[in-house]
Amino acid sequence: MFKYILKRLVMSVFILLGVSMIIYFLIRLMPVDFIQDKINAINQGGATVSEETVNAMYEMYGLGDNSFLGILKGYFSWLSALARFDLGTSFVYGIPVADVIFEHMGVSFAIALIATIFEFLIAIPLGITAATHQYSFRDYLVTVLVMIGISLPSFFFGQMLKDIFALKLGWFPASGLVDATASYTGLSLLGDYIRHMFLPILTIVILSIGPRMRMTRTNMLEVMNSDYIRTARAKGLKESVVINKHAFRNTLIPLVTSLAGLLPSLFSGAIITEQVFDLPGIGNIALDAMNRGDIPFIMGYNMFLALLSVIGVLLADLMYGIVDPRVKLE
Amino acid sequence: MSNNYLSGKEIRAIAKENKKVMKRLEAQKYRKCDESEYITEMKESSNILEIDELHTYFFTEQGVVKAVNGVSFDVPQNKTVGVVGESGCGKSVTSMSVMRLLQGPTGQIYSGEIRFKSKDKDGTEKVFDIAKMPMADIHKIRGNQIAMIFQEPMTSLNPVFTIGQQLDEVTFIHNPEASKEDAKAKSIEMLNLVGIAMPERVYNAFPHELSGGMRQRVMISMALASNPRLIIADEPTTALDVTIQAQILDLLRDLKTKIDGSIMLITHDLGIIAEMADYVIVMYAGRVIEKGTVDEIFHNPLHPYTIGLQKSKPTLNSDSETLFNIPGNVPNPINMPAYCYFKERCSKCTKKCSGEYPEMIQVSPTHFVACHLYDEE
Repeated sequence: MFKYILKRLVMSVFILLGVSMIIYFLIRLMPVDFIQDKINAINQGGATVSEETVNAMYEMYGLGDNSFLGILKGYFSWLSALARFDLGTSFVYGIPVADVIFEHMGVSFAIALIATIFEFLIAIPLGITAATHQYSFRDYLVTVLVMIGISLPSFFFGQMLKDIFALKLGWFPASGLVDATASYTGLSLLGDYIRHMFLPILTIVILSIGPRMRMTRTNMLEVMNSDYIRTARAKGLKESVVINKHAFRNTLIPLVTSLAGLLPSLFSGAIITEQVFDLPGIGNIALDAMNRGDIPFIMGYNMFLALLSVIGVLLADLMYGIVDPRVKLE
Repeated sequence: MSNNYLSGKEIRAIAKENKKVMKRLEAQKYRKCDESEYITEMKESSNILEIDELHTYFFTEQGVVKAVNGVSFDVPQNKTVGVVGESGCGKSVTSMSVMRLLQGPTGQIYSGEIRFKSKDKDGTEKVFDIAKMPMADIHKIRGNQIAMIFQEPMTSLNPVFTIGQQLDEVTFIHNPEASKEDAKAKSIEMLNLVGIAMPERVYNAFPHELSGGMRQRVMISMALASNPRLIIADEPTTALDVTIQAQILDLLRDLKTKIDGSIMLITHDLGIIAEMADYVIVMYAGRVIEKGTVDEIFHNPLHPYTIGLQKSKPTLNSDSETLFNIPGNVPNPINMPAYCYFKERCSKCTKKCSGEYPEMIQVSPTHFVACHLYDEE
């Protein structure tokens, strides 16, 4: 087991190297230019920037040489800094990338974690009832409702919730994370956070229940038709025990695999929902960085997600070994 | 034949009709009712199970499949009754009906009685009509007094629980006050009984770590753990290789004397029947066409189908190059003809065979056959 984990971790290093290389080259080839934007901004202010200053700025940011060798050099200087656990300084914010990430990640993580917990708590029981009452009114009702959820785009649904519950009814604040006009502390501050995060979380939960519920239903149906469920019934077990013990333990196996994708999604932020509710989450910041060519931030953010993906997959494989006795990790 | 193609109108009409019947039968299955509603009397007190005019239907999109279409037979106490017939003749559906394991809402017991003599823990005997029992009360019988062994040992055990966990469960169902140690002791005893070497190790093993024969032994031990009065073995050896088959059959025969119960053995293998059974029921297309003692069926088969079945058994001491087979196919189960179902394949057809479906004719106290050849006239 220990050897298996070690082997996987060594492999991960190479995967991450490959990922970083691809991301770096793609960003350098992107048609955004942080320096040009900056100079344009200065020019608009009325001042003129000399040719030498411009070239000096390109050199300073390490973006002077756009040939293959130049990009390669830039990549290795980024990599050598990373080896010293330095993700570099964000172009836009002028502070270390790691600080920018940690500053904004909290909000996104809190929203994603709460939303995921509710997603599982709602979707799995719904999937199980839909499967155990296949083709009944209940099954159709649940399926139609979650299909509506799947089909709604988040920018539309989020905006709709905002319009109804924030602007018309005034039950929740429309945007932001804290009430700027009041200074809360302690519990009342927490309450304020919750009020602000309620609508974004609701949006994400309703939109994400669908796929998870459909998956549970499909797995459950497959398991319910298997021979060992018939055996469990033939033993004289109550139907509730058959479903909640014998069938559910088997439905869990594919659900665990889907956990692999969960870890990075907890930290990546919900770009569109954060935009709609104007939250200072990491998704919002990442989109902005992408638009403005903030290379160190994009690299740092994407590498962070890549690392989480690799760990997520490893954890899912280890979990597999726990929930399914037929899987042996060697 | 054109009846394989249905117009949209016909499909909708079928669906509407099915829905009505299925809804009524499902409601009946999940109704709450008093025990007195399904208590009856046995016709013959020496029987443990009496199946009387059982009709089990599947309500499919193409129409109603009458998988079991008026089956009647008895299982006497301490006897083995073999049910033979080709694939799809309704043997398994009959056993599923007795266990009430039909997959609803499509599969339903439409009519008929399944009388079972049940014995409480305190020894009082009651006769239940299983076909009329609501699902809420089925645990009085299922797994407890009637246990079942299935034909696929490879997939019949839950892959995520150990053998021990699955065996202990049976003890806990029927004796909720049992301690963990009691349950384990009972499970090990059961594993010993079915001839498993190193029961302690098998107790802690997962199903995928065992061979097919071992798994079938575990299934049998699971069925025995509740001391059932009737064991239904649905093709218990079909998925196993020949040497293991013989061992499993020996085991079943030994157990019958040990537990003092009856066995209903379902198979398509006449050799197994000859070896194991006291009585034989021959089924064809959802009906019983001949029944009698094992002697009568093997030495004096009457129905042309039974005769054909015996001829199609491969033997080592015949010179013929080809194996005998009965020509033709089973009629479409949705539109069964009004005449004898075997008529199209029968070599001894008479004019009478185009008439009504033949009645059961008694030729000896125990021997019955449904064929116009033996009509008394």
